[in-house]
Amino acid sequence: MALFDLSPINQRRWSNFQANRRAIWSLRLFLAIFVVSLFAEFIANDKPLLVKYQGEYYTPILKFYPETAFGGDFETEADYHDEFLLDLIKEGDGWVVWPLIPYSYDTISYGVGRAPAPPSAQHVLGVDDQARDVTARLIYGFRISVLFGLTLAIFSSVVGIMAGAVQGYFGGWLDLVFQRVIEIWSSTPQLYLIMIVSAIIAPSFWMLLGLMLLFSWTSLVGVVRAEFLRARNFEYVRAAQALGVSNFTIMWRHLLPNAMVATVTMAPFVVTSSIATLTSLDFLGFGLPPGSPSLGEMTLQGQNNLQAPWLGFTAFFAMAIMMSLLVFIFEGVRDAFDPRKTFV
Amino acid sequence: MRTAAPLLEVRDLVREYPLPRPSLFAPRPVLRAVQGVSLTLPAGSSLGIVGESGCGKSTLARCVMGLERPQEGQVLIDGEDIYALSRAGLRRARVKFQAVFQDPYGSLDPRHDVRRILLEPLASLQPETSRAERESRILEALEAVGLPSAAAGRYPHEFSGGQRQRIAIARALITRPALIVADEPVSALDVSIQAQALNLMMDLQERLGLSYLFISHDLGVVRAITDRVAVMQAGKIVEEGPTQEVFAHPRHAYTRRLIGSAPKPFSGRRRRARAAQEAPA
Repeated sequence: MALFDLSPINQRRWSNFQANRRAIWSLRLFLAIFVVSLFAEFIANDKPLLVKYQGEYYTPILKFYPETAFGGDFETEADYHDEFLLDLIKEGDGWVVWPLIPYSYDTISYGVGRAPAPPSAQHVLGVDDQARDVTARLIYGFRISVLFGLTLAIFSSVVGIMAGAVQGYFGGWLDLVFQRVIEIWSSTPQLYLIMIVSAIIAPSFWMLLGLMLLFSWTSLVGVVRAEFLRARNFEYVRAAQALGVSNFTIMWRHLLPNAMVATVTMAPFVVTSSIATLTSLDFLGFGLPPGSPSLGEMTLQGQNNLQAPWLGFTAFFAMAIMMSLLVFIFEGVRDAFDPRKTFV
Repeated sequence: MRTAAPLLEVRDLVREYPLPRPSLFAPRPVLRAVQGVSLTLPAGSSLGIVGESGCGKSTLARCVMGLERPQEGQVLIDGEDIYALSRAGLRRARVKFQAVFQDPYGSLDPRHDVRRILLEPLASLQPETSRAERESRILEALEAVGLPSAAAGRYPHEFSGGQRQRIAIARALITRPALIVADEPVSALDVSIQAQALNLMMDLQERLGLSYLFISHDLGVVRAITDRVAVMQAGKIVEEGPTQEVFAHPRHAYTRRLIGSAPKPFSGRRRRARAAQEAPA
């Protein structure tokens, strides 16, 4: 595929990007954080990574073990924070290896006394007003934000490119009518509409994604349409038509590669804006289902608990750092694609 | 080889373009690019269309290529009206007629290598061909235009203008068509390369029994390659006949003017040389 192998021009773009130190370091840092957050279950979890009990090994994160497996009384899943169970394991010649943060995003720490509690040795960033570890929630919340942003960007790119391609390639009345429809559609206040809908139907991750996709696809149509309008009069497109190549094939093979540059420079802003929208929805309480870890919900807790500044600060810095890194990366991408900019 | 129907027949073709309104309530003026043109092209022969810029010859070519639906008239290829066909039918019919364009720098996608360029018409018009068959067709087409088989893996920018036009001709040949519509196929090439490209086209005609509809503003080129020639002026054909006869005894005033305005080799230089001799030292 011409889109994916590194042609000389893409090699040049890549080296341009690498020459931009701020962008490349932002990318590395962001990727590091993102990859770490992808393994959130192994970093912040209320189940141990590994348990040795009576000469046998157990992996509670991956498997369900009833308490009876460790000599307890109940058939329910073992509670590894329970002193009683830990004593049982110790008596059985065993030991326990915990993840770096021994709490999941929904683990309630009963030992902290009053919640929200300030940062301490056990809870590096403190606990929130429901006695849940802020660090754990931060890791899971970061992951869900980024995944949501990326997924939405991919879906809306696909829809936006298809719509823009059809409009630009065929032009004429079709283009005219669709442009007006898009103008009307994109001037509807999407945040209110999402709030109204999610007040009626309980929102889930995919539900929210679908709702936001309804509005975010229009952002790419303009640039893709412009590229297709320009490129459909290229001689080789005319030639392909005269040689009997089908419209779809022409769009896919000859026109789409021309529109890729515009798309790649545009799509990042879909990522950042969808992360921001998701966060604001969560902040307002219309976003992801209650209890799910999210930066918006953490911001809301920060607002409700001004006496516990670690909540607000954590949310603020997480958002600010994530957005800054993304903007730096995308700036680098945009500049790398700009043929007039050269980096020595 | 004479068949009942000529390979290409154009009947009373009219193609108009609406122009912008001069004022809000004025009727839309119409540019009549082609006004009632009729042509016939028997199989195995070549027909030239000459005329000055803007006389409608490229519009005619685009109508024959099936790129622009004419308002009136018919384009019959092998006795079949291509604009009466469905879209899929028209695509299938394109196996029989292919096109070569003016600009060999623009008509090849710079992102595709020669193999992909040549395969494109084959894959979309004859998808039933096997892999081995396609490979042999590529080699056959490259050989026909005098390019080495190693050219298949290279990109258009690695070739000169003349070589690129050879690639474009190879692309037109790959479905083994009977008719090639060539719209100014050599006018973007250097004069020294033009002769080569024309020789190649004539050679191919002889070997493969092709027919050409050859559009050009260059009288010398048309004279060299065509059996018959039609002279177009302002959307109409003013004169048509065997090439030699039209050039030797032009009947229409416009044809005479066109032939008279073509530059003759050395004429200017000689006159200047004479003027320099006559001038007092």
